[in-house]
Amino acid sequence: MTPTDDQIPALPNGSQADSIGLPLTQLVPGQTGTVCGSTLNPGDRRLLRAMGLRERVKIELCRLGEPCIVRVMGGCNCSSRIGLARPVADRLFVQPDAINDGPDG
Amino acid sequence: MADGTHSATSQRPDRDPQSDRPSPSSARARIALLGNPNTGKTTIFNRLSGLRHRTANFPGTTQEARVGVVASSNGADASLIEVIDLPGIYSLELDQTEADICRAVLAGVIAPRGEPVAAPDAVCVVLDAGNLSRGLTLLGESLRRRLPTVVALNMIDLVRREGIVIDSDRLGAALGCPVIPCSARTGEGMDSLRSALMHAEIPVIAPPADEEGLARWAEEHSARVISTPAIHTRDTLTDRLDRAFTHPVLGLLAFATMMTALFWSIFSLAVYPMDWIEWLFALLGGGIERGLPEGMVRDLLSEGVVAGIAGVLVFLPQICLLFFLISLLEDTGYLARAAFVMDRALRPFGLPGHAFVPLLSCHACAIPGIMATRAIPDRRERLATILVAPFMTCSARLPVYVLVTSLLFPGRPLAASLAFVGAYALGIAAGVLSALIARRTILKGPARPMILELPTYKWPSVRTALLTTYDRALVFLKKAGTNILAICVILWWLGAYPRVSPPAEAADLRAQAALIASAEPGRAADLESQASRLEKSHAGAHSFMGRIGRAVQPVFAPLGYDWQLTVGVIASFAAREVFVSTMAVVVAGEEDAESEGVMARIAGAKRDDGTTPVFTRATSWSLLVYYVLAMQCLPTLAVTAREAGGVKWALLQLGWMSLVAYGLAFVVYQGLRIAGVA
Repeated sequence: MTPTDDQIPALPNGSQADSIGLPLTQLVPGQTGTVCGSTLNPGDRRLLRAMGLRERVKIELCRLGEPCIVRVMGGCNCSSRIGLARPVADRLFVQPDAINDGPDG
Repeated sequence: MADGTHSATSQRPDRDPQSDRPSPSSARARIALLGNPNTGKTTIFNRLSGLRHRTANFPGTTQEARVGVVASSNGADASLIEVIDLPGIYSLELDQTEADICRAVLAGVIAPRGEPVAAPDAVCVVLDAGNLSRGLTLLGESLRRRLPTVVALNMIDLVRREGIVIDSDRLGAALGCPVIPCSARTGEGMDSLRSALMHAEIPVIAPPADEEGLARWAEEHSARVISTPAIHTRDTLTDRLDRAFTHPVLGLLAFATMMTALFWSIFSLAVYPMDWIEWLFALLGGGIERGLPEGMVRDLLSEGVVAGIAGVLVFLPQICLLFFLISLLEDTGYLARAAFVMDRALRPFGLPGHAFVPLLSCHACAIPGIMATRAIPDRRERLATILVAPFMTCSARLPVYVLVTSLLFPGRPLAASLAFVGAYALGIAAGVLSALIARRTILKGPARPMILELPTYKWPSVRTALLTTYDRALVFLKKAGTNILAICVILWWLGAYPRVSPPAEAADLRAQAALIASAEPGRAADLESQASRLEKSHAGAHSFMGRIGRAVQPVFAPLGYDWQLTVGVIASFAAREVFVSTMAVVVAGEEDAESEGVMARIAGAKRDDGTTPVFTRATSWSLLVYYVLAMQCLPTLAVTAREAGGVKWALLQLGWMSLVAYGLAFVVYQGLRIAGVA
């Protein structure tokens, strides 16, 4: 499903993403991906970045629902878990990794 | 220093900047502790300062900091270090109060009350060894401030357990400041940390100024020093616990169980120390009464001051238990998950999930509940919670509920229990609806959807919990305690003065008793106690309290209260539980509300016309509703003023709750009268 125009994630330099990711809530629990942007308000966006959810960071979706729980996989085994209310998770965009055991996706 | 760097010991405020010899004055080196939340910063603070610390506000805010004193472990260097525990933040550049305060402290613009305003002599940045790159970003922001810096690489034991090795020396060389691996939980590395802090220097390294560059810098540095990059293993236990605790059904059940246990222990366990305190102070009061000559001083001491101090200390067991248990729960990591569970229930009313534990605690006593609202990050949400917290039925209202429901439903315990439950429900409903109104009007603001880090599950530290409890107890005693004591003394004085001569009937009874004393001692004793009761209720009626009651009675007439009930309502304005004992004195002339027959006498009390009972059905319902909703606790108002940051919030709370209580009690009374209920 391709995001519509008003869902194009905002990147720091203002340009559009080359690879448009999916909202986090469209991943499957257990799926990993790479953060590529968000459509959150600036305050929340900065907070998430400061907490480690920034572009090019690998994440794993641990729980889908209210709340969504993501595991932030920083380099070198640094990892933390962040709980996000669903409205926040809907507006965080992620480039999903292929699901190993699923159909091509 | 010869190489041009500046050490912490040469940076103290009152010193000649050219000289690098420490000043002979008692100026201490001041260290600021900076770090992400959940990095064990507070545990490091506790390790360094132990009991030698105090809690202080930043002027102009309700943000607190703990300020402690550390004795250097190095015997040769006996100077003291002062440590300020700053609020945990993810970034210095965020637009939130905690980050504002950290920035201001590092810039030397602000300091906790009682401390000289100056930049800290050194910064100790606390990093979680298991989250190095994120912590390095904050370190980088701090390094830009060009303050002497030491890095505490905390929780090193947990990382080591997973087989990861961090080359702290290499990291220190790259950063230009010492990196001390440590574990505040076990105590490892604390000595090295202390001595490193004494000799902190300004690092020569300047990290990138922009956000992106800084993030890359942090990643590169952490990658270079973590020499055993392990494969990311799925932590299935944490996953399963998270799923259980945030599950719509299971999570709610787990939460309900935890809260019931919390609530039950505050309600029931605290009763023992509360009883001991009351017993101890009754002894003390009795001792004073016997030891001092009769007069105003003796009465002031035994009935005013001693009772007043008891009135303060009696809150302590509940406060201590509450904060102890919450600290344990929080340390386990559970509360963060529970906050999400409760967020769903409270969101519609403009309250966050974090508000649940404080609001629940208010059912034991509003004072510790309001103090617990510190956990709520958003200021408006926190204020809304503080404002409505006293609507929750606290234990002080229970004696009134018991009195009124036993008058309304004599011999029908089921109906009485239902009325009880209804009272609790009314309080909760009034609270959340008031919060909704506040959030739509004076505290309007966006409902911030929750974003919360979920810390790793771990066994809680009893030591940390005890120190937190000690902190909170001290804060309560110092601030609320002094107010409560003053209130109790004033209350006592209003009820004891002016002294009036006993009524004629009492004198007659005593004369009669004296006549028959030798012949019928039993009957004489009865007459004496009758006289005594008459004297007491007469004194109560003519005290200032009694006179105020009579004067104010017209205000409460539409609610169905006569002057005796008004005295009870006014007196319990300062503390609700006083209602029953005040009624006992005014109506029945008894000081001990639990002595036999008092309840019956109160129930049968008549108004001035001699026939209408004081407690008619309509009046009783109106009284119940009034007590559910009214703000009748001056100590709580004092705590509100302090926690909300201003007397105006306490006044608002008082005004709103009085309005709601009076309005609904009026509707209930008049409605019942119109419906023909007596």
